[in-house]
Amino acid sequence: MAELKPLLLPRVRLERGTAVRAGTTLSIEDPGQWDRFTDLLKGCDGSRTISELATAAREPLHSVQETLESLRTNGFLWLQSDYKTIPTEVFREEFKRWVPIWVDFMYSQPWWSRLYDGTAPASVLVGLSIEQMHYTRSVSAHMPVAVSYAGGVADELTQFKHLSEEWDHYYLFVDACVAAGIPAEFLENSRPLASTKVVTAFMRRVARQGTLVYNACEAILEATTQNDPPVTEFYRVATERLGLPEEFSRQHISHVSADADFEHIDIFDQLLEGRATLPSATVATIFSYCRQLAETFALWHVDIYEFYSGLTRYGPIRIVDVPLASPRTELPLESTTC
Amino acid sequence: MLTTPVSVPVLLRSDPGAGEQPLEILSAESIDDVLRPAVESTLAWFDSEALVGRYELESHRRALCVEMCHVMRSLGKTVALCAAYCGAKPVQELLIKCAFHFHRVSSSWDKIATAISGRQVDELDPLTSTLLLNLSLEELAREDPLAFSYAVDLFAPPGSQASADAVMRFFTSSLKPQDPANTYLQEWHGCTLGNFVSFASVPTTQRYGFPHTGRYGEACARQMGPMLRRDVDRSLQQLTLISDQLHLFYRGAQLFYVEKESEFPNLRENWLEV
Repeated sequence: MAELKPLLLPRVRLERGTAVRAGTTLSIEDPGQWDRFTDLLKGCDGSRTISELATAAREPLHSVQETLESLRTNGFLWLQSDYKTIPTEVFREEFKRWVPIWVDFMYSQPWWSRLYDGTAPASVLVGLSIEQMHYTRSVSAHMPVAVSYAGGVADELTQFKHLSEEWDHYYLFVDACVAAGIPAEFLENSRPLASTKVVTAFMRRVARQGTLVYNACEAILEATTQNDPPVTEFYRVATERLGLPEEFSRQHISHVSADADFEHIDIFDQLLEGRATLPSATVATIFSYCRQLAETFALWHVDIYEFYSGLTRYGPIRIVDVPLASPRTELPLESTTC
Repeated sequence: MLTTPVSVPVLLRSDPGAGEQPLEILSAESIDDVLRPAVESTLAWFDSEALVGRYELESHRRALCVEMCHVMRSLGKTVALCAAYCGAKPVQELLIKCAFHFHRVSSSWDKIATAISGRQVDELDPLTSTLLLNLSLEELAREDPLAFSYAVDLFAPPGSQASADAVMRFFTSSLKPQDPANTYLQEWHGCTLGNFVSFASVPTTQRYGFPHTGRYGEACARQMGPMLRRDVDRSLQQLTLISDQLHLFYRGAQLFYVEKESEFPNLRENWLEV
């Protein structure tokens, strides 16, 4: 172990005797040891062995080893002999540490709970469906790119299978929007918000990074099915409380069920199973793009809420206000243009 | 409390019942009449003095300047990308010369970003919202050289006085007069308006004369010639998306710097920087 080279992972916050990372907090009991602790962390740049760090710090080797092992166990650093490749299990542990944090970030806006409570405008939930419809329709603009950038036969098969299962899912969102009262021809003539369009552009860029990076990002998107409250309950309750037709939630729940039935959440894990190690450049790219994905979706959600709640009207855009259906009425007979 | 569902705003691709003729052929002048106003109105997004209040960015003005540096310094690559995907040879050459210019002045943006942030530019990362603006420009560069050429006119291409002044005001309204970054800004402004290699050496644009006060959008429209209204309308839609993306540039700065309290400067993060 003495010849391993500790690497401090990013996003460690040091303050007032504590080190915080990814929701884990470590406290230093003896304040007099704080400077020693931070000096040790600064040395963990992946190029020096534990022995060298102990010598430089004039500390007993076993004491430094103990401290570093504790930091490793708690997800603050890695202990490898080199970092040209990363054992897949080490990567997987770190990835799983961050997935819930990224998902939380994507859905951190307070209005999600207001939709669930029925206190946000119904137009936001319907607007969300419209934009999800546009985004899922654009699967055919980024998933085929992932197919073309697949690294080998097995990856190509995986991407083609996923594409065959996903390319037509947008019809479920179309049906949900129609159930909410938006005529199909309006949807056909509608265009996405700029934020929706750029989510597609982002996924295209991700697709060009190769199968692993693309499916890591897809895994985060699929992980929302594990949200609390569960997505299906969210749609059922929000639809009811916002006075939208039951068919609206049924279509959304069908989409969630379809993804679950296809076991899309497992694709990334399956891809990792055949790989003992991962190139460090791939690992770095995965974490970078996953963080950007979470931030992209957070901005997307902000934009959707602000546009569909009527807070923002920017740019020279053409808008038609379409009346929503209520639980007791079917599709509107006519729409209002303004 | 039950919120009564009333209506939902739907963005449309075209005005319903506007009676447009999609197969009508528009001349270069008419194309310019359709696209130029979108550029002129979008230039308002560079009025940071007005927009920092709206987006609560008063105490993040310097961060906003660094974000704009990230946009400006990446333009050379994006313009070169458009040239690569653009089929029309004269437009390709027009864009390549423009890319040379943006590449040449990118060092000014590096110096400005460093002067404001106190960090070397390779230590910095754009906010994801800024990255998305760059990504939108890249997508446009691949898909629509006409719309992209008009979009270029927003970001102070060589010889565009109005655009150069708008970008200049974006920075000077946020920087103190004695700020070292001002020196580099003046240097960049002079280079933008005094450059005679990038723009005027393409024959079609030589008529603008020195100092080269032309618009890339118009030059591109002239090179590409008459087009169907349907295609021009599509380009207008694409151009409008860039305007919307500038809104998200500010809204993103608000999200990350104000609401999420991200630290400034936004440092580059690498999971495996060994």
